[in-house]
Amino acid sequence: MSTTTLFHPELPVRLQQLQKVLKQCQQSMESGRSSELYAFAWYEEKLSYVVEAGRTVNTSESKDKGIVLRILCDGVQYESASNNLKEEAIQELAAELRRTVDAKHPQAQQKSYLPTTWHQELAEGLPTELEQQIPPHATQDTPAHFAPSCTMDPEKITIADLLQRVHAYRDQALALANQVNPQLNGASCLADVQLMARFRMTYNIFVDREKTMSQALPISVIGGGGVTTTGQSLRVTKGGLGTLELIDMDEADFNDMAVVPQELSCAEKIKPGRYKVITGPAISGVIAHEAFGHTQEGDTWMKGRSIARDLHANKTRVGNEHATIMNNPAIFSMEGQQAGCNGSYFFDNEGQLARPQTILAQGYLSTPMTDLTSALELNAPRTANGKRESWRRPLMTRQTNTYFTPGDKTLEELITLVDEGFMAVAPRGGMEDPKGGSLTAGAAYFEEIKKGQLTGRKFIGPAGGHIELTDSVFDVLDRIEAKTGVTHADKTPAVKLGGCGKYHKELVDAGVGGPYILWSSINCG
Amino acid sequence: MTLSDPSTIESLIQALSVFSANHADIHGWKLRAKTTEGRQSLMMSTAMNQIRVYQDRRVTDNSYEVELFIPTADGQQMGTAKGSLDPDSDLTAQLTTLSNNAKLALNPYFELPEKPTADYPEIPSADPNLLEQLDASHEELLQRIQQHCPGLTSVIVNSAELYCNRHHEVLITSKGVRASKNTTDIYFEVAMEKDPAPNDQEVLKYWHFISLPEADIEHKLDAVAQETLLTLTATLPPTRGNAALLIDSYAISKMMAAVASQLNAQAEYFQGPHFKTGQRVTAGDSLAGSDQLTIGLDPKLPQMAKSTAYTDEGQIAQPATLIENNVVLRQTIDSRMAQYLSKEANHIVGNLVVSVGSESRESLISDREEIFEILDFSSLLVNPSSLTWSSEIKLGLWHRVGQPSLVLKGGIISGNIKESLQAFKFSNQQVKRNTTGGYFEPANGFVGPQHMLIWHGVSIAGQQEN
Repeated sequence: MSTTTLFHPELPVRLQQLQKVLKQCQQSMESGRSSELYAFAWYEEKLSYVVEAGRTVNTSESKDKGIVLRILCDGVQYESASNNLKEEAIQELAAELRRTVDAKHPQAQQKSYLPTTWHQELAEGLPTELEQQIPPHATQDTPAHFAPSCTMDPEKITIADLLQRVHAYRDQALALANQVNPQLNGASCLADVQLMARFRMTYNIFVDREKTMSQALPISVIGGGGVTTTGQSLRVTKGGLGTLELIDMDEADFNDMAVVPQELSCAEKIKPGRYKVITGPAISGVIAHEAFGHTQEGDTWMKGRSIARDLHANKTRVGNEHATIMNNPAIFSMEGQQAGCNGSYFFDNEGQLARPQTILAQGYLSTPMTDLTSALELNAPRTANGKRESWRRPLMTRQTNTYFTPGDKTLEELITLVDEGFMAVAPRGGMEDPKGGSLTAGAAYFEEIKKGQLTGRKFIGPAGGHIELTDSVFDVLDRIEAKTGVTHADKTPAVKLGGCGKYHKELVDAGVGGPYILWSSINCG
Repeated sequence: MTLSDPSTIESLIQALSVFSANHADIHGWKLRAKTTEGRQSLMMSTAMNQIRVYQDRRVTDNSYEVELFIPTADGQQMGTAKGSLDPDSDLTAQLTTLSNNAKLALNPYFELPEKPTADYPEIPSADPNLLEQLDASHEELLQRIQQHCPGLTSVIVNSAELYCNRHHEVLITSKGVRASKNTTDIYFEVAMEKDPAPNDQEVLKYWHFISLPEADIEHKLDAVAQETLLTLTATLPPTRGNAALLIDSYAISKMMAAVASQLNAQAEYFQGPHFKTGQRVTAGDSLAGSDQLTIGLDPKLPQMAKSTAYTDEGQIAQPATLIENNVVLRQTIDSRMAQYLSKEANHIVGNLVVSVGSESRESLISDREEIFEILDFSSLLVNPSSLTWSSEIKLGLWHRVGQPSLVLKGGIISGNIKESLQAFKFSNQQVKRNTTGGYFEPANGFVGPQHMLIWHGVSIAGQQEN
């Protein structure tokens, strides 16, 4: 029996001194007023290797790092953020922030927020991957470091490793494109295959009065695809929380990049209307994310911008028995992948430890996902959803990995349930409307199903672009007919790489996933 | 405004010069330094539209980025690598890593452009008050929001965001380029719903401004409140195979920016969809009554998102007309693409300038028996390769015989820009809008028509009519 050495990225020694400085700053920000003020310090460092290959090749190796110092007083989160990491500069930033708060709140009206202790966290229960990494008898000064197990040593990954992959994959896709084009009647030629590969190692430090934590988050991503001379394209994305084995491409990927764009260049245009549709894991996930993902974000509740608050209060059912959606930052393996997704982490940007949350259970809404502000405003449980685009940007309630729970059918069984309809597997964005209760999810193309069988015919949007699926969220969630099952031990379906801009900005990583889902009727155009 | 620590950039130049002197294979380098200071306020309302800040941020950011250029020994290829520089870490080690990366990323050879012989023009790309008094300016805007919102009637202000930034950027190359500029930007968004609640609709609007006088906060708040009152009774649009559509400057700017992107010589080099000089930008002949498209770029317009004295290569930024009466006059060509395509570089960049039409919005609405006016798209996605677009309608008006008959929400509109340019009219009102740029949309300055009527190449998936 062969064994594989697994690597567990530690907090670099150079950051251990910074962790101590941040602890001192956190203490100085609360000094003398700890009954009124709650302070924490956050550090993030993103070392990114990026390679882009098309007709030109570009490489980029960058290290972005910065700190956020926060004081919470009377419901206002005061923050100072900087990338001047000299010890004296950090201390001065902390002192200046404290002076600002003292000037605005010489006497606070509210008592300080009391963060949870390690003892309380363990008593509540934590996912195994977190619990195992907490040192025994941890106190507020015990450094706790979290990291996933990696197949490769992240320290040894270089630009050259990424270049070798993108060159090889691009060459294989272009070779396939050249073989195929003469066989496709009326198809446009593939103009190029453009690929981007990125390995990013993120280190975070969080310190408050009860915890001293750090985490290492290696994320590997490959994305790109082919584009024809007439502009038809298909994008393939792979990766997750781990090292470069997660971005290995296969024959199916080459086909998607090289052949499908050419097929789409001569594909029929769909007639706008309502259709029976099976969505693949990525589009199922986009629907989960846009349907009651955004609607269940605590700051959206807090501002009166979501319909979910009243629906939860009234115990209104918003979907059928198949409509169960999870948000879970603590995914470290899933169906088909022994690694997490890009929305996975051990604690959020406010030091809240990761736990799974059912945000919609068989059509019934739970309490929302929260950041610290919304949890306090709504008097709701805290969840690990306080995220920001980077240290430069504000913090909001954000989704981590959002997915539909699996069902019990095979994909073949699902297809046989469709007399006339389509299969949609390639995602193309989506948009939420938490107040209006509608959603859109994009599909690069549809593949036709007739009499329970895929016909191989592909369709594009009415104007020649991608196809949008849209409906009222309630209608969508009430029209789930069946879902495929999974073999993963924890019943975590495939969760795909995703990104989210809240309304239209503040990009964060957010995995999306689920099983194949059969929807009885969706408006498509 | 200057760099927060000017001595740092001099030490980086010194390090780059020494490193280049010690590595004869290095052909050149480009260094970009940027200092940003920002204020960010997130707000929510309490009773009676009293606005409360719940997140109050100050941000200081100094970043340094370098690009190295290293040709192969035979002079046929050029290796390039980009990376950040940490001035507090070992610079030689960082440059050695970048140098090694450059030798792996080989492209056809190109010469780096020399420093321009003429001086850079003075372009007022920033607001002087915001530049000098960031905190005071931000506080004043906050006060104006907090003072105006309680006076809004029949609406509930759910939330607002205000960000103010000032930036100083320096570009230096081994070929003698040394250029710098100050820029400023303001981001303001507000979300409202009608009063009384509960509602199932809200209006969310956002704006990017470059200058304080542009930031007419009170007017924007009033306009959003007025639009919010339209959300009373919305219905799904009907399905249409071909629809007449009225869109505003937000959508026009996104669509025209996508058209302009196909004029970039890089699109030709990549052999994807692109336009060449002399080509028509329409899918076919113009239909009767259609306007003709004229587009240019202008980097010299004061206080706009793409106003600049110099290009990314450090050359003097040039204005020009790119499309006239639907026909491409010229591409935009930088020095590198000029060498790759054996063309002459023209260094045309800047804000998008689109010619206006001759009719008012009211006249355009009366132009067709049935017009769907889109007040808000849920998420307008324009594909710059296929020049197609689609979105759900977040809020719209269904005009019949020149009169609004129904408020619309939901359904999907999709369109083909090249087909739509065969049958369109621009309104005669000129507006200016800015997008400071981010992951979801690139920076863009736009001066052009407020409205565009399209009656070809657009379909709607809504409800089937009996």
